[in-house]
Amino acid sequence: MYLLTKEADELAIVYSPEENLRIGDTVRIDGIVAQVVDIQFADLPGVLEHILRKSLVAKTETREHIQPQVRSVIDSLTDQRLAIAKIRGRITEVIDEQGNRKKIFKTGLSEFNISRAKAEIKVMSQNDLFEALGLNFPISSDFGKTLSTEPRNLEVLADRLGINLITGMKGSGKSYSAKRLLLKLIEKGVLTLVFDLNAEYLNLWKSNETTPNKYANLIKVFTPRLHRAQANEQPLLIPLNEVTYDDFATFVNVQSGSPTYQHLLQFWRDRGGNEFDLNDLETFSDSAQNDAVKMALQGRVAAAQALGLFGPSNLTTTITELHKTGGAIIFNLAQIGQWERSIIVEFVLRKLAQLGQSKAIRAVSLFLEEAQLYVEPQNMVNILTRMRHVGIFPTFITNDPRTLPDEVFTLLDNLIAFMFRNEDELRQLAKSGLIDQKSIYALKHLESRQCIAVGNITSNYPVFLEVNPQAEVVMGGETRKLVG
Amino acid sequence: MYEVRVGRMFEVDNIVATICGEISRGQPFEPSSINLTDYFISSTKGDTEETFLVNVDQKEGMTKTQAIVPKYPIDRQVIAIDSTSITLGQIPDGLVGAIRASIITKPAGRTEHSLEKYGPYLIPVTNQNKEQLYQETFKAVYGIETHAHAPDCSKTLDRIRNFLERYLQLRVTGSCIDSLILMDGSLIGGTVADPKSIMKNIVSNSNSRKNSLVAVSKSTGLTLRESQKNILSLLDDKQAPCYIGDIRDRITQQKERYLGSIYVARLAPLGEPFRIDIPPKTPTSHSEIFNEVAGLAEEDGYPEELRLAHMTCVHSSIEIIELQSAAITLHGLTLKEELRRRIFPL
Repeated sequence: MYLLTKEADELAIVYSPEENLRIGDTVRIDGIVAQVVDIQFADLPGVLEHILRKSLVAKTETREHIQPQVRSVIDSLTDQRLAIAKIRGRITEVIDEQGNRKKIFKTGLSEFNISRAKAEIKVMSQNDLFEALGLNFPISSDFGKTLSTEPRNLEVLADRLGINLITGMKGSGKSYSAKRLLLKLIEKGVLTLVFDLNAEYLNLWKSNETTPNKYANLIKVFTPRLHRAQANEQPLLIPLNEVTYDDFATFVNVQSGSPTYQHLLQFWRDRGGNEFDLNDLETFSDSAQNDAVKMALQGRVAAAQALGLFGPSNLTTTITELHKTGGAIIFNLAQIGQWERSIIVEFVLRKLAQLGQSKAIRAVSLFLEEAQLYVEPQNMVNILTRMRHVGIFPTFITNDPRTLPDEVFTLLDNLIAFMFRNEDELRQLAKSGLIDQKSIYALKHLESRQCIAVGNITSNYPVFLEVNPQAEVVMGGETRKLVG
Repeated sequence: MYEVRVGRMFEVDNIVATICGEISRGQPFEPSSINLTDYFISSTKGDTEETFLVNVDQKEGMTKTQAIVPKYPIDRQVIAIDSTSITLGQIPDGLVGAIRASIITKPAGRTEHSLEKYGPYLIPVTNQNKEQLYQETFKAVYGIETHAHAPDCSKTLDRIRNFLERYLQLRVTGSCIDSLILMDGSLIGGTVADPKSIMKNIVSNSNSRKNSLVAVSKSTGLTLRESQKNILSLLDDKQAPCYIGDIRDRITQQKERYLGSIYVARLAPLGEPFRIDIPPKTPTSHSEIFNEVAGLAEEDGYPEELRLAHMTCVHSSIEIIELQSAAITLHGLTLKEELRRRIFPL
């Protein structure tokens, strides 16, 4: 390998096909650390002419007799590669408190004293890199393995999670990875609440269609409008006093300003901040003086009872119980309308904030799949700015990062980005400041389940990795085929 | 029809073993200077033909031209053969070179081409090994001994290239039927490198198999006695496809060495004139052969199959650097910088 050019923080390295180098590899050039973000053919003068001449006759119609000793050399120059590597920083040696010499990674590069002809370029082992980055992964780590010449298993360290974004185009493996991360968090004793828009997380407690797995006791599914509990799934009920009269009026289709609406307002105001339920509203309806209003209210109460959304909730108990052991609470938002989703999400977030503020829970993780579809912008900012102070750590999961407010990218602690082809989306990711645009463009070339992870979880060094498959868990999320 | 040789090329292992010899390791090697931006690395091909005078009075009736009616030989197999050599660099007592030959085939009934490439073969030629190399290769190709001495190293490399090309011509003319076979050069026999008997073999093989053998020269040493101009000038004032000749009987010296009828032809309107040799007594008339060769000619008048044969056998600048690297590795050579560069670094 030879250093060809340096332009700003980009190095061009020429190497032969026999020298293994791949996107994601970290190379060390004397003290400088650079990461390969793109690989091209070395654009030598004369190559075009050489290739054009070879293409005069179709390859299938060409037979060659070459001296055996020469065969391996022919076309070797045409196949010379050019690796584009981003300078990430340098490795320096320090003496720690115990007096031991230790290599550490430092970002930035204030001097550039390397020789193009003599500098030795070596692929840095992932172990050395992680050691310099201060990343100590347990031996049992198996979340994923690095995309590098010598792959190494790694883990997402739970104590480094903050505001996280998992993103990638449809089919890139982002949801699969989110589920793997969720299971890892359960193993670490962390409770995660999931807003599941596409009913993808419902079967994580099964090892196949009929058999529960080791997570079965730690995963609870809440489904709205479910009439009775079954296996790990139970009805999601919201106490009536947890919604506003206006929300209820919208839900049961009462026109704003009508006499019926005025009665609902009066009912809510009379009860102040006390608890009440549909039975209380039914009693109130029966006592209405105006027959038309009475009938309207009774009809609405009957409709609300039939839908099974309002009722006494055991969510607080479930959260506090699972918080002790670690686990997951999945809110199945798949078969309900936009309004109900918003009501449920607001209710859950309010409940979490209350529990956090009262210190009934220390910290929980929150997974939001396509949050823009059910979280109001104001609530999104609230989640980002205030909720982490009460111990709620959000992970946004989306296939279109442009739908998230800029605050997400400004405050982002960790980014796990999968394949994108659209340049607008790639540019959006670069807004996080966690990674430069050139490196993020490498996402275009990644395969399914391959990603770049960067942020606190990687000591801010972009790590290319492939998420390992999960055994003994029904991961779900497969897109159905139209035929077959 | 062309002999059916799907997936099988002509056997050349014996020749390759003869020409790709070894030299003592550790010798200094001064690579030929190669500029990657040079698209065509020129190499001299063949011994320069001696200048022979031709008695043609341009006022005579025989200088009248015959019109050519180009006709693409769609129903006929066309085969073109060419070869090239290049000096990769100098060693103390000689050089290391490379040769390659190409055979282009256009099957009957089709317009697409197939290609057989023989080489590159690395050939070390030194003052010590050139005699043995020359004589053993001569025998491997022609099956007879020669007592001729090898010329200087550079010419010896070109002779080895010529032997490989002749070998392939012998094999093609001896295996094809009813084909139009195009060669680069002329039908001269009785030279040191090309024994008359061998050239006669090529011609008779070709005729007996109903092949039309055509040798095309871009240049020639044949000169008009009166004007002292090259015979190609005979068509200077003719722009349409036409040919003139046979002028072999008008050659004043050693005409017995010329085994074919000799013509000057312009194969495309405004194209370049070429000397074309065709064996006498061909199964197809020479006029018809000219029509077919003209049917293959591009705007510059050169037949497409011969152009392809040439372009696929010449070494690109990239290949030359690769071959220099292979030579260094194979013969354990040590790189020596060119003296001029060492003295004048900038």
